[in-house]
Amino acid sequence: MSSYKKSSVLLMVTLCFVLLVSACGNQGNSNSTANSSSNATSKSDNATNSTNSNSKDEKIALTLMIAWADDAAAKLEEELIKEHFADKYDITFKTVDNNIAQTIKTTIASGNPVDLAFYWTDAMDAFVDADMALDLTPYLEANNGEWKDTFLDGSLDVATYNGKIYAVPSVPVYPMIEANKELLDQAGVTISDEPTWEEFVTVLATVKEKLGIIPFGLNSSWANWPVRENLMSIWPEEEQVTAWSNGEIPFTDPLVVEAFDEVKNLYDQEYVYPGKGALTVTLEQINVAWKAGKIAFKADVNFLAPQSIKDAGLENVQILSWPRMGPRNNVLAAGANGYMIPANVKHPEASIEVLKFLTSPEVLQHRADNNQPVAVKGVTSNDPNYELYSKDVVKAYSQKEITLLSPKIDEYIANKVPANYIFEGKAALEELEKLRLEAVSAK
Amino acid sequence: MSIKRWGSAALIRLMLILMAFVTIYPVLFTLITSFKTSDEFYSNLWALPSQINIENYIEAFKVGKFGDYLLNSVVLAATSLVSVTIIATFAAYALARLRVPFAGSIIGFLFVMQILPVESMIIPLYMMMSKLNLFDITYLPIGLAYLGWLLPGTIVILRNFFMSIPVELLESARIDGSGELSTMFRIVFPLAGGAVATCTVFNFAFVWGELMWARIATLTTEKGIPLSVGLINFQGQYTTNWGLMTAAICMVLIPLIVLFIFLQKYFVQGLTSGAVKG
Amino acid sequence: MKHGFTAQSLHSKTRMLGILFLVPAALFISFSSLIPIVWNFILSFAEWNGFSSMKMVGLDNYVTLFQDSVTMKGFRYSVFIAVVSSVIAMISGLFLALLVYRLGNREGTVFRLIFFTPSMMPFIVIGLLFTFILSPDMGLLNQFFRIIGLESLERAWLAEPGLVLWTIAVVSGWRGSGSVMMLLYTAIVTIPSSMFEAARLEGMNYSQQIRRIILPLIMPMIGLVSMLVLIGAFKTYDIVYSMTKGGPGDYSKIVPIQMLDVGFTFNEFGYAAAIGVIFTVLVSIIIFISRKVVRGDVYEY
Repeated sequence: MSSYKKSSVLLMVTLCFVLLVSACGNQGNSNSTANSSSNATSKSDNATNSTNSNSKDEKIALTLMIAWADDAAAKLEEELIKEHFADKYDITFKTVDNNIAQTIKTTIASGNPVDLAFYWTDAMDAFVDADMALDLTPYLEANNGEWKDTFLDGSLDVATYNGKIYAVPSVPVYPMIEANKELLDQAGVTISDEPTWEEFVTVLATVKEKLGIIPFGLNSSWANWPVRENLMSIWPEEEQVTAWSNGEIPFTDPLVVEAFDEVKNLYDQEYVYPGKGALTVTLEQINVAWKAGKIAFKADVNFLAPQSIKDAGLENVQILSWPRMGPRNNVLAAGANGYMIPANVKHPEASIEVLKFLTSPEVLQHRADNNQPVAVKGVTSNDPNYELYSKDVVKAYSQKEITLLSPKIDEYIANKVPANYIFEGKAALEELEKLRLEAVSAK
Repeated sequence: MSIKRWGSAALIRLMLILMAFVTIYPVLFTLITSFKTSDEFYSNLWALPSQINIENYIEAFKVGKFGDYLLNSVVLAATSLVSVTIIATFAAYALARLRVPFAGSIIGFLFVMQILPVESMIIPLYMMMSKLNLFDITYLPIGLAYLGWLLPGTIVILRNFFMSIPVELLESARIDGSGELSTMFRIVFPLAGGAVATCTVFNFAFVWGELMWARIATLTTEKGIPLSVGLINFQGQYTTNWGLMTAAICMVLIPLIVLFIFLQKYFVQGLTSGAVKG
Repeated sequence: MKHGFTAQSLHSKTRMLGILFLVPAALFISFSSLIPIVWNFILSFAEWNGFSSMKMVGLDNYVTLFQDSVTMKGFRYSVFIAVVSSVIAMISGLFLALLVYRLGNREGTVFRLIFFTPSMMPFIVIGLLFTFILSPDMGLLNQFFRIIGLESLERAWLAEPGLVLWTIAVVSGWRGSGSVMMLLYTAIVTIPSSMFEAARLEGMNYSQQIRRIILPLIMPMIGLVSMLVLIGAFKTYDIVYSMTKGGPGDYSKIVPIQMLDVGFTFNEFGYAAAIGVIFTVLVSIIIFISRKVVRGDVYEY
């Protein structure tokens, strides 16, 4: 028994000792660790971090977060990158998930940022606000704008703040609606490919009445789309749209109130599936309903539509542009999936090189082959559907959204709208107005 | 009297079965879904699968690199749990019976240590460990953090158990000339089996499922990635393949269940009359 | 006798040993818990966007905090959910422990395993499952009400302000009841069987045994567990996030979610740290109060 006692005290002391020693002993010496260090040699960031990579054999280690788990094209891109840069860089890939912003910021805050990350080009205010993103303008404009010209006109504008560009797009993303034509036929209605808001609401009412279903499937993450689109499309004059994006028009303007009211009406009249719980319905629930024929319209992202239609097994589907509230048909709030580089990366040149490769027409052609629209020129596709799912890209980048004014407005509109307006009415608009004034005065 | 006892046991059994069914439904749901294809799932959420389809499991294992992740999780769990148990047991005993000064305040302090959510601790810990270059060592950053987080709770629970051991028992041992350490090993620790086993189950569940810190800590390497982080690979931006995800989760749950069953023999009657009399 | 020890040297020897035993624990806890907490405390007096240097601003963050309605609401929601779910977890956990104990060891194991499974499930699946169970249209719960004819009870469980909090609290409580059951069961099991034998000889049935023997003896454990459950309930972030993401709007935006938003979305890490500090203070006060309420002496036997 005394041996039992001795051995456990010994164990405890050894444990602490080992942990302390390995912690201290690792200060300057990165490769001498106890566990499976045989593979660790070329991957340790620290050996190459303090000085620029000197010896020719030692490759720069990069960590890239570019692929979502459900993006097969991105997985392919990872392979291509690995192959292409096999001799130069030692690359670790990490999967992107919904906490990407948090992850990126944590690594930036610690001084050890990821080298390249997926991000939405229209949401970069979160990083720009704190100067966390690398200014890509010099690289884009080098050689007479060689790199910059490869991108679709206007697609870089959404990521431009104060004249500087902070992210580049790969896949343009805009909202659209899928319509189950069989249900529409049953209800005896038709709708044009580019409907107006009034037309859309009328059809919703008719379908609800005739078929007894709640016709519009819009999941909670995308619930802000109607508001954002209405706010973009309701202005009769071009200058007003610009003024609005710059935050010059107050949220209490009657047109703004009308935009919000129309959306509130959708929910009040229970046109949005499933009626009472519409504000927190998930995409899964919508998919179930879509497949079961319980909804006639499904709001979707442009490039996800083909898969959504296939998964639901529906044959007769009409692709609609998002309904517009005002007279002009040339504007659409949209964004893009793209990439950004943290401002304090260790090897900006390396990151840029990988980024250029990633956004080259050769690489992006693979996406086009799968019917995904891309944000660069020089990509071809023989599939007629390709046109169909990217037809609104031209409208997409003509104006900036007000959400780009400040992270707070962005967050409010992204997450709290329309719910706060529905429950609080004017008070929500007043909150937004306060945020707008804050943002404008900060500029 | 025997009939009455039998009756009440049956009633208890009935109530438990009802509640058990409600409770186990999520696990059943996960299991059922794991045998379905995505298509089937969206057609009818609640139905039984048309056929037992183990493709999801195979694919989850291959795509998800489950072999590696499983090993990592096991190593992480084993080292964390052993360390926490040892350190906490000694500390708890000290606070319970070894007349440490300010024991009460220390306990209060331990409670407060548990309040702040993990989210707040991520940045400072990441910065610290990154400056100390700890991220080069596999398992260490994660294990170290878990150790610090699990200790307060475990110490508090174990101390409570130690407090219920009669002081006279210990005093008599002391007077008999037994040193503190041998008292501990001969008398106290065997009695704490149940409490230690319970804490181990909780701590294991925590380590097994902790995601936020594990992900950030393994961001720059390919090694030492536990299962919880591996599950991220099944979650997409817009869609999740629930068949695969639930298959992965079932595989993740099995070790937990195995551990529970293995430890259950320790959840037995503690103090026997023998110890009290002796 | 070899050693001639006085009571005093024994006393101080014990003390030294005690302190020695505490050292390793203190080390690790300081590293992973204490230092981050202190860092947060200091940060709460500064303005930091995560990247540029920190700027000390004194009490500004705290002033903002008390004027920020979203944060204040968040505190209310957190308290509500924590208290309600803790009560549910404690009562059901205790109930289950008592019942399971009665059944003896073998059957008991199966039941205990079953009741513990909610705590083991990753929150992702719980989120998915419950959004479907609680779905207003095709969810099990509303369908159940329809079948038994109580249609008026149908609700949008996760979409009504107020109701959503109750729903989350119930789910959270259900999840925690397994852990409570485990701990209380272990406490009951340490009661020496001699007590129960004596009770049986006296002719007590089970419910009497519960009242006169079990409950008084495990009171201290009940007190301890309720505090742990309360702390855990305040911290739960994952299950709320996976069910509602803080929605609808910000009607279920509990404090951890708000902290993450303020920090990582608005880049106001100093303010987020201040929220964390106030949160810690608030929870400590509540723990202190509940400690007074559920007081229990430690019984030795």
